[in-house]
Amino acid sequence: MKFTQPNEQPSEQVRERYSVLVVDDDAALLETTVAVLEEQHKVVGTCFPREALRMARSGEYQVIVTDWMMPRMTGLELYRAVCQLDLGIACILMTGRMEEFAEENSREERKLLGLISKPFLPAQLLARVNQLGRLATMKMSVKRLRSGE
Amino acid sequence: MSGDARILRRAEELDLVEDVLSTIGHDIRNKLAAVRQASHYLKTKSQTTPLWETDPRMARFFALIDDQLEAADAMFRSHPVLAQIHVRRPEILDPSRVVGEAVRLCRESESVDIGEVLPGRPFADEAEIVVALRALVDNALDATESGRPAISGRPDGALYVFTVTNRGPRLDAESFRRFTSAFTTSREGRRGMGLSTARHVASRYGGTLALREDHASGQGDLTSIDLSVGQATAQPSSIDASSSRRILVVDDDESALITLAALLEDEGFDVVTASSLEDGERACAEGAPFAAVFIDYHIDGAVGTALVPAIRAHNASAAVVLVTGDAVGRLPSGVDGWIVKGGDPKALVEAAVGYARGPIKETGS
Repeated sequence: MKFTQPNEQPSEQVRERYSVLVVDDDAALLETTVAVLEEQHKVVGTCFPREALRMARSGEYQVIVTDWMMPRMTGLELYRAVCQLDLGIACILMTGRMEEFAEENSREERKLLGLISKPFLPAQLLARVNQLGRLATMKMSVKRLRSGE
Repeated sequence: MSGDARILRRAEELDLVEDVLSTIGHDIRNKLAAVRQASHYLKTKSQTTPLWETDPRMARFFALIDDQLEAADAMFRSHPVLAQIHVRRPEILDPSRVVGEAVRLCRESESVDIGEVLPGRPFADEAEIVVALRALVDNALDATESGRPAISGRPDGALYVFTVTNRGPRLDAESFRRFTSAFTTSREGRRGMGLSTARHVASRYGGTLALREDHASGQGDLTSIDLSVGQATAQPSSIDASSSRRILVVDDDESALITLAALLEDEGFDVVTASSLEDGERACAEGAPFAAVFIDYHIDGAVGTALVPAIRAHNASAAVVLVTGDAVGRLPSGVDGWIVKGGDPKALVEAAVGYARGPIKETGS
């Protein structure tokens, strides 16, 4: 995992550096997704959605990038569970079957999720993580202000 | 007609092959994605090394990997060979007939009750609907523990809903979702495609395959599965004056042009004819928008789809229908469907009227 070096530009750190949790039961895809995102972010990966949920509770992640179809717990179930934590974490769901996903899930839910359709280019995933990372950071700041921290 | 076992088998084969390809395609895409991401990582890292500057093949080979991945991915998006299996011919179906066929062809037709099948105008490929309903009936037969499975049908707004019920082990939403995925089945220890195929067929014609949650009122373990498809919305006689009755028919074969135009005129449409793509393009730009445009697939030594941009430029909501004498693979982009030349004129007109009323577009397929 990559950590901030003292000589890096502070502006870049503010713009593009989030804590990202990647969840995919396909180990090769997990490792390479982590490698791509590490270009700009602090990234941790796991093959197990339930472990991801435990890790998300720590509150240190802004973005979760998850596969949809996984045994035992789907990406959507993980997303719903993460929403219940109410920590303001953004979720990006990767699916190769957008039509099926659209068929099975409500429009409201699809609007809330950051969906990315496979196949995607690494740059597209990075852009989506940056976009949702910014949103999550803003939400978390508002939450902190409200709770008077 | 659905009684033709060969057509049924081919419709089933097409659905099966598409389902298998889609599943394999999905898995292979995941593998390609891992390769693409690994390549991206290696490229980013090697760009900062002296090797990147000294060996021009570094940049070229990374570009080659990207190109090859894209080409491999494209292979799973189009399968021209599928057109040779079965050509889909959506038309207005007689609900009683498709239900009867599905039951006749299921594993134990004498064990299934046909309930009330109300009249309606489901608009779909008959063979595909029979195959899908048969899969639901077979599934219900497998799951039945007491009583007899039953099938019924009724119109419901823009949709026509076929319902298959049985009494057996309770099916929850999650199991239903699993059984409607490719390669899984409710039959213990087996792997199948029946419910997955049924779901795709429903979706293709603007409907859904849904588990009905009506276990209330002491019905115990009654399982009801609804397969819905879009309906052709109205008879031509009931088209109100405000909606477009104009239809454009483009065909370079004069006798085919006159025949289809005359049949549609008999149904109360205002038909404009064009005998070349050029004339068709001109007609699109003139006058009120068309409800539908019928284009000969092979015209002027070109493909009729060449007219699609011109049609869309002036008639965004028109149904674009290819008129074809032979197999056309999947629906080309911008085309809503096709009808087959030289078949039963009545069926052709019914299909044409269905398209002119835009059932497929309205139901979002």
